[in-house]
Parts: sequence; C-alpha cells; structure tokens
Amino acid sequence: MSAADIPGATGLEPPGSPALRRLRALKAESWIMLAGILAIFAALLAFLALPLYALLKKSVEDDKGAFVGLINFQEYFASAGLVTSIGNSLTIAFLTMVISCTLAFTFAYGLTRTCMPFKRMFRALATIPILAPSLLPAISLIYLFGNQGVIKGLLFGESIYGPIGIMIAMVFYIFPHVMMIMVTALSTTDARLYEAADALGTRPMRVFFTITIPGAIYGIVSAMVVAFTLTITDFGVPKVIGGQYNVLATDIYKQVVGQQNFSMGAVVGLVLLIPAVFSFLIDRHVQKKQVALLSARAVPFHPKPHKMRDTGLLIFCILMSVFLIGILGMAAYASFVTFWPYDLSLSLVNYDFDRVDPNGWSSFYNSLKMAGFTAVIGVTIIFLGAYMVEKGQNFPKLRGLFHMLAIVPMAVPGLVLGLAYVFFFSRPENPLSVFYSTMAILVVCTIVHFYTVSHLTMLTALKQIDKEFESVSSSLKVPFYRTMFRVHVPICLPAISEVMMYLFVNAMTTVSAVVFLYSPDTKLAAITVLNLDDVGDTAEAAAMSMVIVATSVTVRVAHGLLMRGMNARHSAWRQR
Amino acid sequence: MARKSKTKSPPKRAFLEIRDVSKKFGDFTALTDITLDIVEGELICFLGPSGCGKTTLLRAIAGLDYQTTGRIYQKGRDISDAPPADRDFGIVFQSYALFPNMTVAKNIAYGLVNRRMARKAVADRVQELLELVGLPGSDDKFPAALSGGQQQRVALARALATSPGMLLLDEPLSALDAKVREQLRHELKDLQRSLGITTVMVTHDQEEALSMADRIVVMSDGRIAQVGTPMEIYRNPVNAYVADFIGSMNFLRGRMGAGGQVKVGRLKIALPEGAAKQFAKGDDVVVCIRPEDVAVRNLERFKAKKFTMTINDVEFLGSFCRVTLDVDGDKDAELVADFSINLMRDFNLVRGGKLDVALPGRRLQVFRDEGQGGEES
Repeated sequence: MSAADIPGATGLEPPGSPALRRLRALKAESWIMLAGILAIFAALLAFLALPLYALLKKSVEDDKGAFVGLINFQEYFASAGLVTSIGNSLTIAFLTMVISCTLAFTFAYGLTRTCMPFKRMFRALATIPILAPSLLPAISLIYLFGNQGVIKGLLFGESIYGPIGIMIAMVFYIFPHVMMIMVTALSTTDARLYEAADALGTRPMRVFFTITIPGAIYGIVSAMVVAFTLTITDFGVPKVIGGQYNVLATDIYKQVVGQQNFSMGAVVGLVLLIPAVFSFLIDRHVQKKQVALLSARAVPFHPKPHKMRDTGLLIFCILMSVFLIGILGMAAYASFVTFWPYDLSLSLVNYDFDRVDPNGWSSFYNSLKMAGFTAVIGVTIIFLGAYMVEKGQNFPKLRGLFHMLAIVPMAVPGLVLGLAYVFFFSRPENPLSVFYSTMAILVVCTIVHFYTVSHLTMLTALKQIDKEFESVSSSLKVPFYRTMFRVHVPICLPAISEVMMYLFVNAMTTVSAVVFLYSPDTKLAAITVLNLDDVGDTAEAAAMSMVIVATSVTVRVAHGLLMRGMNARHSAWRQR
Repeated sequence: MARKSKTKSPPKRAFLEIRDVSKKFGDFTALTDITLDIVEGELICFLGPSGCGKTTLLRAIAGLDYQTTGRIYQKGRDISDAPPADRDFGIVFQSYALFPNMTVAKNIAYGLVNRRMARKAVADRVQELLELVGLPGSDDKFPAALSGGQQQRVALARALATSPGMLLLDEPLSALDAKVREQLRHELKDLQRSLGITTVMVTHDQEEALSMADRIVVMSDGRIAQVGTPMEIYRNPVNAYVADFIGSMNFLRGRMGAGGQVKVGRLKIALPEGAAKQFAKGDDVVVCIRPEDVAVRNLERFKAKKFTMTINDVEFLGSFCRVTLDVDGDKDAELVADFSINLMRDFNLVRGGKLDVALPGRRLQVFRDEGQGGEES
C-alpha cells in the first residue's frame, strides 16, 4: 500500500519548522518547566555571573569608577609587600598540601587497607574539623603555643604566629576533606588485581607502587588540588594566627576593610581566583578519568590481617586522633577557664558574650536564622535545579548551560564571591541593591557559595532514579511536577537531608564570603569570633567557636537520627 | 489539519500510519524513511539487533523522542508533533519503571487518580486490573517485594489502567529469566488478544517475536528489511540478512550453472523454476536452507538429487541433534541439519559415518551473493 493512496497521509510536512510546531503543541506543564529553568537560571546569573563581572570591572577602574585599564595591576605588581604575599601564599599552600596529603593518605590507608580495630570511630573523629569554623584551630594553637601557651617550649623558640601556626591550623582544618577523598580513592579498587599480583609472587612494596598508587592516583591528585585551594583561599586561619606574615587572603581584607581600597581589593581577588580556577579545572579533568577506572564487575577488596602493618597504622591513627581532639579540646578547655593563665578555675564567664560584644548572643541567633534559611531555601532551589538538569524533557541547551553555571561556584573562593557581591549590590543604581546589608544577601551568598557540591550530590541521587519515570508519567497524562513531588522527592529524601545538613553546617562556620556583607544587625557568630579575637578577647572567641561546634554537632546527630528513623519507616521500599 | 479538504469519504485508514519517518542524532541516522501501517487490534513486533532503530521508532510513536522528518497519524489524527500526553497509548518499559515508594495499588492507580475519578471507582478498577494480570491480593506490597515477573505484570496493569487505544512494549520480557519469560509470553499474548488492544512490541529476541506477533517488522540499520507474518518471514525471507537473523540457516555460496542448477563445490543443486529464472548463468548466489529442512527419509518423494555426505560432527541438544555434514571436504562449506532423536536412532548416525540427504527445492531460498550473510547462525 502506498502512502499516496491515502488522503492526508502523504507524509507532507505542514508549514513551519518542526521545533516551532512542537513548541506550539507544548502543554501548560512544559511552560511551567521552562519558567522554572529560566527563573533559576536568571537567579544564578544575577547572584553569580553578574557580581563576578562587577569584580572584573572594578579591577580596571579607579576609585571613582573611571576606566583605567591595567593600571591597578601595575600598581599591584610594583608593590613589594603585596607581591611577597603571593610567594607566602604559594609556599604555605604547597607545604600544607604535602603535609596534609601525606597524613590523610596514611590515615585513609589505615581505614581501607588494614584490619586495625576502631575504623568507624577513627573515621568519625577525623570529620570533627568540618563542624568548626577555621578560626577555631588557630585560636586553639594560640593557647597551646602562643606567648602564654601551655606547651610553647615544643617550638624551640619559634613563634606560632606566622607560617608554622598557619600550616598546623590548616592541616587540622582541611584534614577531613582530604581524608575523605583519599578514602574514596583507596576504596575503589579491584581485589582481583591484588590476587593476580599475589599469584605471581610480587613483593608487597612493588604491589604498593604498581597497583595501589596507580589505582588511587586520580584521587590523590584530586585531594592535593583540594588541599591547595582550601589553604590558599582560607581567610580565618591567617587572620587569627598569621601575625605579620601576609598572604593573599588577608591582603584582600586589609585592602577592602582596612584601607577601603576597593580597586586594589578587586585585583587581589582576581589574583586569588587564578589558582582556584586552575585547580578546579585540574580536579574536573581528573575526576572524569577516575570514573572509568572501576568496572562494574570489580570485586571488592578485603584486607587480610598483617600484624606489623596493622599495629603501625593503628598507632598512627591514634596519634592523628590525639592531634585532632587535642586542638578541639584545647579550645573547649580554654573557653571554660575563667581568666587565662592567672585564674584556671572553670566557669561560664566567657560565654557571657553580651559583656564583651554589643551583638553578643544575638549574633548566634542571627547565625541560626541564616543557617536555617540557607538550608531550607537552598535545598529547595538546588533540588529543583538538579531536577530540571537531570529530568527535564525539553530545552536541552538551556539545561546544559544552567548545569555549567551551577559548577562555577566551586571555582570561586568565598572571599572573592563576597567581594564581588560588595561591588555588585552596593551600587545604588542597581535595583537589587535593596538586598545590601540584609539577612537575605547573606543567605543568597551562602547558597551560591556552597551550590556546586550540593548540586552534584542532588544530581547523583536523581541519576539513580529510573529515567523512564517521566515517560510513564506523561503517558499516563500526569504532569511532571506531580510525579516529582510524589516520587522523586520521597526517593531523594536522604540526599535532601544530607544537603540541608551540609548547607546548615557550612552556613554556621563560614567566614570568608560573609565577612564583607554583614551589617551590625545581621552579624553572624563566626564573624563575632573573628572580631572578639581581633580585640584580644581570645577566650570569648574560643567560647563562641565552641557554641558553633556544639550547634553543628547537634544538627549532625539530628540528621543521623532522622536518617535512621526514615530507614526504619520506609524499610519496605528503601532497601533494595 | 492537512487532510480535511481532500476527500469526503476516505477509504478505511490503518490505526496507526507512519509516513517517511526519519530520525537523525547529529551525524548519525537512526531511522531512514520508515513507512508502515499498523492495523487495529494486531500485535506487531519491531525486531532487530541492538542499534537497528527499533526503540527509536517506538519512542517516536510515543512522542518521547520526536522524529526529525516524517508524519505519524493515529486513527487519522496527525500526532507527529504532539507531546506524549496528547497521544493515546500506555507504555511498559524494559525496567518497568515502577515507582518504588508506592504500593502496587497506588502504582496502578497513578494515572486514574489524576482523572478525578471517585475513590471507589479507582479502587474497583485497580482490583479489576490486578485480576486481569493475575495478581489479586498484592495491593499493599511494594515493588521491591515482588519478583521480576510480578513487577512486569504490575507495569502492564498500570499501562492498561486508563484504557489506552494502543499499548507500547519496549523489550518487556528481556529482564526476566528464561522460564518466566516463556510463561509471560503466552499470558501477554492471551491478554492482548482478549482485550483486542493494538500493540507494538520492540524486541531483539526472534523467538519472542515469532511466538507472539501477528506481524513482524524486521529492521536493520534504521530501515525496514521485511514486514510479514511470522510464518512468511521464516519461510520466505526477502534477503540473506532476514534469513540469517530469523532462525538458523545454512548459507551455501555457489555460482549459477546451466539448467537452473547452482554449483556449490562439487554439488549441483537444482533450483525450483521460479527461483532459477531470477539469475543468469555465472551469477554468484547464496543458496539457503533451514537445518530442519534437510531431508533424509523418503528421498524419492523429492525430485531433488541425492547427495552422499560425511558426518563431521554430532551435537546432542535434548529433543533433537544438530548434525554437521561435510559438503565438499571443505571446512568453510558445511551443511547443518537438525534431526530428531528418532531419526538418529533409525539411521544410526555417528560421527564419521555417511548419509544420503536431499535439499528439497521448495525449501530453498536463493539470493544474489553480496558478500553478506554469515555462516549458519
């Protein structure tokens, strides 16, 4: 039967391009999808891309806003003091990277490749630093090694105020991040490789260098990159314990907050952006390669007992835990000491923040509010964004563009983001300037700052959901948003809760981005720590840090209980 | 829209008309000019190896991926650019895509609840469907608690719940193990026949297609190779590709000689008249015969010539034996024949023995040798 016999079925195309016809045939729900993508896209544009552009623009302007080309950069590189900071920053970042990666690799090796006891406990202990602001280890080190430090003698006359202090505090602060990457890298291995090596009679050293290291190499590189970036962009540690030792991060602060030299601040910000973007690109590249390393048929590795190795690593992990607990414990102890070092009796006098700071406890309530808003609003936006990227049916180009934009925050240090916000939102002609110095801008800035990791977590969760659900749903004529609420949200609850906790804890502890953006009414707890330390109220700063730690721990425990409860209630369908 | 003013009383149109549908993914052409009519109430199978475009065609029919060019009409209505929700079909996926957080009953009711049906009516319909697919009493179970076969039935019930005009099945049985698959094949076919629902099924399993389909569409490289009933396709494949893909087939390469005979090595095989006419002397051809069509008993019955062959190998396959016969002392040209156990015993066939066989003319398929079509499959 030929097509021409049947009227109307000639296969002739009706007028108009197919894309246009399909756009016209779209139902209301597709317009909702489009509106959603556009809204979130516009938000990321307004709160990420445009501020960064404002920063770029500022760096080629003078203080009055006139275009001056690269004069600011010339001035920057002519100033010996500022250029020294680059050298200092690179030195510190490099050494911290080497030390922390060596320690974290050994620790992770103990957790994944030995039969030592208490692995779960060690792992939990190693994540403690995440719950504290980066200011905490610096304050703690002052109590341990400072001018009136308890074990000052261990430094043999060297001062803790400077590179040594920065490095020790940074190693503490970034340890969990680096350690977790190392654990993942060492966990993804194929036991069959080791069995093959064993069968061929390979010596353990050779196995280590020909199988273990190559298998984990991408993770190791990734961990090194993360360590380097976190160190070079962190602001709290060098601010508290850096003394006269200048680094890029403190330069930005001094230029902007101290000297009100915004153009120079922008230049330093851009200089700081370079290593961050560079390491971000390396990391992306390496992560892509990592995926292909493990085939679906790999056999999981189970270590066999080996007395010497197990004992050695157990001792190492104990020492490392003593270091981590010691730092935290010192801060905790100092926060309860009535008047260091003259009256060592314990009291809560340092927790009476209202005595030393006009904002006192209210800054803590501000932090709670900010973290709460960040968690709730952030998770909503991040979920919807990830859903549209992963499950959207139409507009593939727009979705791809949005996904690219969502990855950018990872490459932008908090200080740079905060500075960019200052330039963008403080200008009165910007209609969005109503946000400036409100709680809202702190929330938005924090969500953007931590967007990428949350976005990727959500994306991973959504990827595991059958991709045909949308097809089933539209064949049953059920709009996508209904299926999203009834199916995707319940299935993603663990990831949603995880992201909320991540956002909350980071909002509690972050200093770098918000330090430029707070107003007296919206001062946050972590910033109060900074100010208290600045004016010499170190004990109160330690106390406020402990309040932050306690809050993070509470949220973490609540999250754990929630997950357990959820698993019990949904056990009928969750454990497949 | 395009057809309203052409004629007053159009001839009866097929349920689904696919006209010149092509699909490109960048530089890759997944479908080329597919034109096909699907009749109301039939079960039609798209059959082909992976990458032949069968799933792409199904997704174009569903509106899940649009064709690049071409039109699709359902009951005369142009649905070429309609989104899936504007088309009238139910679909079952290979993965079943059951919502893991909902009970069986809620899964089945998913499309019904949206239609503002009364709660009682929904519950009744769910019960009806559960009985239809043979799962009464499973309402409150979660998909994870069901076996693969049971999940497949729930997915089917969910697709049928809204009484769609057409059922689309994307490799519906391939995730199941062999025993369950065979059983569900029959149930699915029975159900389809009793409901009389027009069904399109995509599969790469020829056995599944042969046993279930009313008609089979064999596809290769984004084109339709042949459309026909299972028997037509099995008995009269249009080319060596189809012959090779469906069932087992012997391919004997040879050259046309005089008098409608093909020379395959030392053998001279007489072709039936119709087949012989299509070729000239000296043409390279492939002579095909199915293993079960190699004749041993009552050879006088066939006018074909007798050949004496050596048995190279005997493979015991349960209900029958697969015997490899030497054609020309040449390893490349062997003839595979399936013999019943009975016959094996009667003729006392063992490796290294001799056997007289005939290749009955009306069972032969002859194609021009274009270098395709492999050894016997």
